[in-house]
Amino acid sequence: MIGILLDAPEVEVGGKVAGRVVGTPEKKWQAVAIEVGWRTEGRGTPEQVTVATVRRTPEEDGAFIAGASIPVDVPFEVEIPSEGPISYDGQIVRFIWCVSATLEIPWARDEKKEVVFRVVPRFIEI
Amino acid sequence: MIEDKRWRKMTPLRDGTMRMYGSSAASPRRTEEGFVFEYGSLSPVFFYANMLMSVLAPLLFLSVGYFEESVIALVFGAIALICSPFLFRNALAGLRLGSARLVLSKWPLRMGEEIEVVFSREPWSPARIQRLEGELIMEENATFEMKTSIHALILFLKREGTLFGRSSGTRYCVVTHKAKSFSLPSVDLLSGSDAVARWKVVIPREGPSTFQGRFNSLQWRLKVKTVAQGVQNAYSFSHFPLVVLPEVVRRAS
Repeated sequence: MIGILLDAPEVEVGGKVAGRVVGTPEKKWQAVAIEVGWRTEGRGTPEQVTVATVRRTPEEDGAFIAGASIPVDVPFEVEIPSEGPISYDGQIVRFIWCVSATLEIPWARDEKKEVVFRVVPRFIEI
Repeated sequence: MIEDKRWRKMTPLRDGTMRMYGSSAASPRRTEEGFVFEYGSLSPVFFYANMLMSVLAPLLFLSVGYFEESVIALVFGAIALICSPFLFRNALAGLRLGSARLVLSKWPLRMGEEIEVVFSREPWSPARIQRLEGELIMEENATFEMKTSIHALILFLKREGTLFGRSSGTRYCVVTHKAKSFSLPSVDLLSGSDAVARWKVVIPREGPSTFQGRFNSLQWRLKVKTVAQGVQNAYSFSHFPLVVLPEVVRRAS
């Protein structure tokens, strides 16, 4: 099982969403793919946009142990575009931001996890 | 799910312009008095050309039909003769109401920000415009595709009992929902006064900001209703798209 831990549930546009993908998988894993993006729900044709993709392998972390499973602990930090969109829950349109993580396990079903977070407008002082 | 990697091109840009599907949408012109939208200006040249066409076209077709003994020309002449009063009236109404002009004090807009808006029209006779009514609107727009598949055809056949009227291919349908609406005080114009309305518009702090996706969008616009007297279609609407950035204005203490 893997989980996504976010530093904050709300992020301002232009800010950074940060967190970690953690877990202790039973099987040996190949890589963790983390995607940050938004999707739409509602009456319109669904849209899905990926803002950033992070892919980490155990070798990159220097923690590769041949033939054995090792705990997952992959930090991530992705900048949210200043144009948004901000999270919106309307009657016929919804903009939803989420972080999704996929644990790639060879010769087995990949493990997937998704966490929704809110993107809010930035405050500016005049 | 349709993934669109070109989404950055379709969002409001920092300078306040908005690009949709690769083309630049309406954005105001920057002048000394502010940011100006100008729509529907019907020049006198266009008006006289329209009038000339509405008179000449039927005459031309009818004379050709009469002298050349052409039934087709006579039919076209008859159609042009029937249409000419409508062309003439529309051109006259457009010219009488004049062009719609909106001047904004700021552009692009931000949530919680107050802006000054000046709407004006330059009609033939100022006495004809009686009232100007403004409305700030936020709309959700959702576009969905309807594809013709065997399944859709069977459903249509079951419901309608016939396949007549069912076209093939992909059709796009747009659903619009007015999520927020704020009425601005209506301006009653005295006879002979200029058709000008000044409003202070506050963009709500809770937003949302403008966003244009490929199939889903959130749009702000200012709608102005011009109520006129003695002009065909006693009222006309002008719509001005507004771009609201995802930023909330906070007064420095």
